[in-house]
Amino acid sequence: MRKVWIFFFSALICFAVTLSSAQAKEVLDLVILETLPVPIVAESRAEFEKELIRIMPEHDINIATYNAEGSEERAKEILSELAHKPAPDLIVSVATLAARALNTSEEFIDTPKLFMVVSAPVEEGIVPAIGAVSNRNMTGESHVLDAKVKLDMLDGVLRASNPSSPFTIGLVHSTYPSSSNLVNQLLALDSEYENINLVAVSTTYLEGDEGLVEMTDSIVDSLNQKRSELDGYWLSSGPLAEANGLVEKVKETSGLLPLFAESISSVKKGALIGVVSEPASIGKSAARKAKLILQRKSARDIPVGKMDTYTVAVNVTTAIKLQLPIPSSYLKLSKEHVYQ
Amino acid sequence: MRIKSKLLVIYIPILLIGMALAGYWAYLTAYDSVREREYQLLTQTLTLNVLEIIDERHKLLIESGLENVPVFRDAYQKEVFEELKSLQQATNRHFAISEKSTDTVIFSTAESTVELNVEDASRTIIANREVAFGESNVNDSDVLFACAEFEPWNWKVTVLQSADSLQSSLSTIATLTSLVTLFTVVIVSLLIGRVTQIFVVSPIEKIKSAASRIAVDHKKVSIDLQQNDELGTLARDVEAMSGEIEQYVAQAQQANRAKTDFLAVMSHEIRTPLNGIQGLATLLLDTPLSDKQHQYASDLKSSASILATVINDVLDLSKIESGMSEIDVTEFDLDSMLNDLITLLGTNASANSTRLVYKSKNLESVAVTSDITKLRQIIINLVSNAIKFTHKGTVSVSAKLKQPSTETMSDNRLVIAVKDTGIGIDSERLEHIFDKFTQSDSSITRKYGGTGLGLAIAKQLAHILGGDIKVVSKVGEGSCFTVTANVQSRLKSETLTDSTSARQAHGASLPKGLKILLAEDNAINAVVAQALLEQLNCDVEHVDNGLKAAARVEEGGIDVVFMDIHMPVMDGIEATKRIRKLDGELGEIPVIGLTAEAFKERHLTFKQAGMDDIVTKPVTVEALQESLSKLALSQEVTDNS
Repeated sequence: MRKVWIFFFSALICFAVTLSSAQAKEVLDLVILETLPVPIVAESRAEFEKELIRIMPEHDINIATYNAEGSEERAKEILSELAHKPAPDLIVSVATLAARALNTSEEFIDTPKLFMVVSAPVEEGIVPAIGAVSNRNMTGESHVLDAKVKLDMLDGVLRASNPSSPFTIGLVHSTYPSSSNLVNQLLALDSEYENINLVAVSTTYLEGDEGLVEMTDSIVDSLNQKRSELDGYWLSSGPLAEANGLVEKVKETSGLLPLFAESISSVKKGALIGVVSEPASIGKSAARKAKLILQRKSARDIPVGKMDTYTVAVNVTTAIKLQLPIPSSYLKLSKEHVYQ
Repeated sequence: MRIKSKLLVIYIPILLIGMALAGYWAYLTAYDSVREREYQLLTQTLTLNVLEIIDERHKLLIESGLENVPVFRDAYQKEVFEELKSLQQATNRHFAISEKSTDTVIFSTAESTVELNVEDASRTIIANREVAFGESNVNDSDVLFACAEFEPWNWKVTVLQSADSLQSSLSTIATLTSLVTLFTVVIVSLLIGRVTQIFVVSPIEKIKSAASRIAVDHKKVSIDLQQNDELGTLARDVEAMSGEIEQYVAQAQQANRAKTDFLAVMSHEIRTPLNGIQGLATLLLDTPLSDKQHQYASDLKSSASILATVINDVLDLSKIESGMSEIDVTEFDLDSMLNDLITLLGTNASANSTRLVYKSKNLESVAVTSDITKLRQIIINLVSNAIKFTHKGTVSVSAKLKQPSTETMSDNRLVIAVKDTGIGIDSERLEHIFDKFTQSDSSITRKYGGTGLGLAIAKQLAHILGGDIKVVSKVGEGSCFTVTANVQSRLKSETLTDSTSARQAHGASLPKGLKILLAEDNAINAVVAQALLEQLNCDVEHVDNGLKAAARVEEGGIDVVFMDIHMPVMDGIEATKRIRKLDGELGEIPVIGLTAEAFKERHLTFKQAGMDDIVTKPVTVEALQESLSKLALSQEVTDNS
């Protein structure tokens, strides 16, 4: 009888061990390489992590995050170090420089890669065109609108005031890739809009927080010098758009107001209108793509696209001040992003 | 008009009126519906489109705190105007906005000023907004309008629409309603026609067809109609009726035959003594008599003659009515026949101091094929009548053929008119003069005598010949009877002319001393016949039955036999058959029947027994002479051939 009881308990223990091992969650290793922790980057990455965990509850997701400190070289160094470790299930790059470094890295050809917060994947050489697939096992989506759509929106606002002469707008940007790419596109389209006259106002991209301060000062000076010929300015995408106090400083020194911005925060600070992808949307959209890849769909088969959700924000105080009535359709689109 | 056509003529107008009323009602309903729908669309356009466009911007301004920012309010009001312009192009409706308090027009898509009479407008609430709508006249054009106020901006917003589209819709509805009504009328008419044909007309036609068969055949009919309705019952009744008709007709025919037989017998029985009276009177007149005795004998002969005429008329009518009168068609010279009749009746005319004249057209050298006996009888009746009722006047007979004759025999129409200048006939009595036993006035019967059968017989005979008799008359001026008859005619050949001439020549001279055997059981008739034959220079031998006659012929020496039909021991028919069985020339001796039976079919029976000719009693010297002449002629023709 005693032997029977021993056998019974042994069998029960074996069954329990087997069951627990069968029910254990699969562990997935993710590496996130972000360019630098400016708000849009940090918030997008945080939303990505939150959404991925939410939509893949049956997996244990280990995420290792690396900061390239706004430097492409640093990003490459991080990747070199990671190459000596076991390959992760997915590498996610956030913002342009990290994406550029990851795309050009030869160590992770076979590792699936995903990018987000990259405005110009075509110009970065990730894919030949929007809608195409990458041959370097990388996919993702651009988070910015077409330059033409942005110009159309601004033109719509300006046209409503029946201007007698075109608005001269300074295109504030740095040599940061996404920033300079956008400006080039806008300048190329400038001639199509009779109400708009674009003037490039540039500064060299400088890495790190100190670089951001230097770039801000440079831009403030440039705009101050050109304030007589400008009716306002366009705050292009890139780290400069995330710089603290730029709008206030410009307003203070030159009295110029931003007419178009690439971030909600800029609109809050006084930009007339802005069209952006919110970090929450960017992160969630990237998480859905990451899930597909982690479920064994090849990144080579997922075309690189554009975001389909954007947020319009308007600042009515600026509008009143400039006597530029924002068309009702934009005001309606802005919903909770009408700022004063 | 056929019953189906009649029913359709009745149904279709009723249907048309019904469908027109239904169509008109449908049109009115559709009219109201379309009007209602147009107003609905207009008011909805105003409230759900125009006012929403305005309200949406107003709310945006409120929510954004920009309501009191003139640049925004002006811009959004401009947006409203722009959208209304686009809406005008899309909907073809006009929009106008005016200052509510001052009625100053702020915006309008209409080129001209719009002044509406909204006092009589209807009002309704849509989406919590009061809307006035109605119809008005703007610049001589009817328009539908709807207007409402937008309080926050102190606006009165108006939507205008031309009534042309409504009129166009109503016109389309009217056209469609008319077409559908007409189409329905046609379809329903066809269906009614078909249903009527199946359930009413077809059964009626079957019953009609059966009735026609009954009318023609008088036989029991069977009608293929299985309906259990009134028409089915009618069909069964008609079937039953046809059975009864068949039975009644059979009974009637039986009765008619019995009547005819009776008349034939009576005719024989009356004619036999009448023959004696007439013959004896004729003989008596040839004897030496005092004037008074001659007058008595003459009256006796006239009375007998009248009685014979009456009997002949009654028999003729009886034959015609029993359908026993058949057409005996021969070819003859009509012109000559009429000339003979005129000559014959001319004596009577002269006695009445009346002139009888005859003229013809298209009849010279024409041979006509018809029933000469019936034709002659008709003319004699009419001419005799005309003479009877014309005193010291003129009776003219004119005859013509409608078509000129050719050498080929062809159908033709004979028209003979008998016109007199006599007493004439009252117009009221004209339609009855062809009725049996009818004369225009009963006093006429008393004054002129007659049975009243002559015209009835003449008309019946004309019908048998495919024609008719018409009469026009005026009292005191005279009457004109026109006889028509279907005949065949051709230009006369030489043979006919020669034959007729030959017969006429022979009739004039019979050979003397003909040995005649007279077989007659009635002694008086025998005396009469013998006397008349002796007047024709014949040598007469008399026997009183057929057996004796046959025996006498067998002995030889007889040239012609006059054979009575009804005789004791052996009748004339049997005796004739015996004679014909004799060998050689004895068997070919001419036998002439003497009979009081006037029916042709009986005469045919006698001829089939072997008789060569028949002389009907009462015998006259003319009848005997003609019969003997005919025999002589045929004998000669036979010899010649």
